[in-house]
Amino acid sequence: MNSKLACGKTILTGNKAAAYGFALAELDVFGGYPITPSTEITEEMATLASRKIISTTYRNTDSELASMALGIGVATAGGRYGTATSSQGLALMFELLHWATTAELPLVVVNTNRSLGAPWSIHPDQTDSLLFRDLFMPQIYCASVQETLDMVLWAYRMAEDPRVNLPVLVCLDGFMLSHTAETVIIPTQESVRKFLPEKRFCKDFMLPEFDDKKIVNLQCPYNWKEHSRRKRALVLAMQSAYSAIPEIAGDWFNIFRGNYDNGFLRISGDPNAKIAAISMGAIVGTIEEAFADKPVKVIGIRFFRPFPAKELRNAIGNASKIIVIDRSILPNGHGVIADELRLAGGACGYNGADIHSFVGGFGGQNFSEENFLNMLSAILSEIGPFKKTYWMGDAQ
Amino acid sequence: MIGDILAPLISEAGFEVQAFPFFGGERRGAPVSGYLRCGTKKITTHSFISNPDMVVIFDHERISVAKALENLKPGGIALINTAFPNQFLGLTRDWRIYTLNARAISLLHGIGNPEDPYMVINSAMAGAVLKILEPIFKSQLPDKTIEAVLNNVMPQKILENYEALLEGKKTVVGLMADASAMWQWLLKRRAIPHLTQPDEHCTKCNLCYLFCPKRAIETNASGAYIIDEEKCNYCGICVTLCPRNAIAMII
Repeated sequence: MNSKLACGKTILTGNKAAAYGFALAELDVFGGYPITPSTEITEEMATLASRKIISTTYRNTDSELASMALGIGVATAGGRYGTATSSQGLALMFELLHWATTAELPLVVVNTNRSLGAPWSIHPDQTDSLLFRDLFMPQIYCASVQETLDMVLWAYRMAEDPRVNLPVLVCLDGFMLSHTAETVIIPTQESVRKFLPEKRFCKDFMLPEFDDKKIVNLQCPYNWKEHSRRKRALVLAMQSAYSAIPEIAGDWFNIFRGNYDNGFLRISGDPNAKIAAISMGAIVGTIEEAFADKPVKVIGIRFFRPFPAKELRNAIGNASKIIVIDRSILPNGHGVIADELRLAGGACGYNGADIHSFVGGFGGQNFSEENFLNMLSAILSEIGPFKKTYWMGDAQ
Repeated sequence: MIGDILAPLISEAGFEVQAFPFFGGERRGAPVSGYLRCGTKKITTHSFISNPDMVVIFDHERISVAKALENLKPGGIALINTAFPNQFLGLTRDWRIYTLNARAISLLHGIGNPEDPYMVINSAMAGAVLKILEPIFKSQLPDKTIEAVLNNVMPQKILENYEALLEGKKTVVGLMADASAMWQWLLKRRAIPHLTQPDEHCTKCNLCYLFCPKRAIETNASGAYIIDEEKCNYCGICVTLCPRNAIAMII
């Protein structure tokens, strides 16, 4: 048993990588409640804390709601907090998650994407976290295990940015990333300390006076003016998060040499290709391998909130066909990413009608390279979908 | 096993690697599958593996072997944990079959419980897989490296698991790997022989019993001679010897 946190090149699962991200962030408190497929995150944190490899105070909470309540308390006192959950757990903590966002409390929640029941499932799709896309909370979707570790650190950097001060959600597809072992390079603690802001908790913390404008959580405003002010402040905070992303990506590159471009997107393939494929999460890697030598540029969305409309427009460029692959579905029958693109399309200058939308991957439906190649040939041969949402797995 | 033992070792051997499980029911004893990719190129895909080059079967009694091997590439490798390898003879016409008795190895090294119906055989199986992958590794992984990985990963019984892994490496054997040219030809012709039991012409002369190299022939309660097909290696000696042609090899 080692007494120091491992570092360097190693093989980790997504869950372990998330735990290492939390460990390197030197949390004051981690509150964990188990739920498949995120349980190993809280187990690893418990292991690291009990062996004194990290000095984080580990707490077993009695539910996910308690996890968020603990987080609100810790963050209000200026402490650094983290928790991990999935689908049903994320839904259970929603009431307080909403409170944490509107109280502008920095903390990080790692969500392993899992189909939100009914029907009951342990397998992945993105309906759980995307359900909460209206929260004032940045959402990051990881496409590899290395990204998972890195994005937990990015999340703290963004959450504690004084212009932002919001909870951040880091998502990784259940099983596809959470339980998948891949090569990871664990950064050193020293370099992480250069990347993250100073910790804010101080032992002399005192609860503020009633009329102290600085602590937003403990006030109980009763007039509409304060409510209105708060809402506008939140809008501004999300805009600040948006501008912070390229700064964070730049700093990351300077310190760690890991290249995440401007942070918003993961782009591969011929930049002049006339077909763009857009998706999010673990399947981005599958799409990249499927279209490796095809005339397609693959765009993986890393930050879903704030939605990178401008960056997507630049990445799509003058592609004439946009394929969108969604692992989510809306009541109007559209995929979430597809609709966000259509919404942004007006302001962004590309024709929403050229979006070929595919939905699927529910309850862990597997997408193989073959699925994507069939999809591509359908689109290339022009017998494919126009202005319609296609369901993957239907005879095509 | 694949994520904790094989993946780090394959990475040590200089390959890109990815490993992940698939779970159904969340209970002890439920069947689970594991997938592993390794190669020289960076692996970014996260799809299931539909056409494997190798399939490893831990429990052929609770898992349908036919289904497990459905999409194994022709000429691919199947590794099966079993005490009676000969029952898989038929599979050798399409694939290369390797077997070992991982349960016996594990129990021998104090891993698992003989009363427990669930088999704790990960280390022995990992050893067997490593042996089979040796040709692509181009060199044996040093024992020290293996021990270091197990040290990192095993919560207990590190030495026992290490020994079991090494023994799995040693005892895994290819089915019909040493088969004579005639057998290879027969199998390629998709002809699987089977023996008839000694019929009414049998005079109980005992020759078949005496000369069977596998001691696969015995007498039952009523004195009739029986060939145990699981022990039989289809050498054909009994067929040749029988003075009454009471045993036949049907192809």
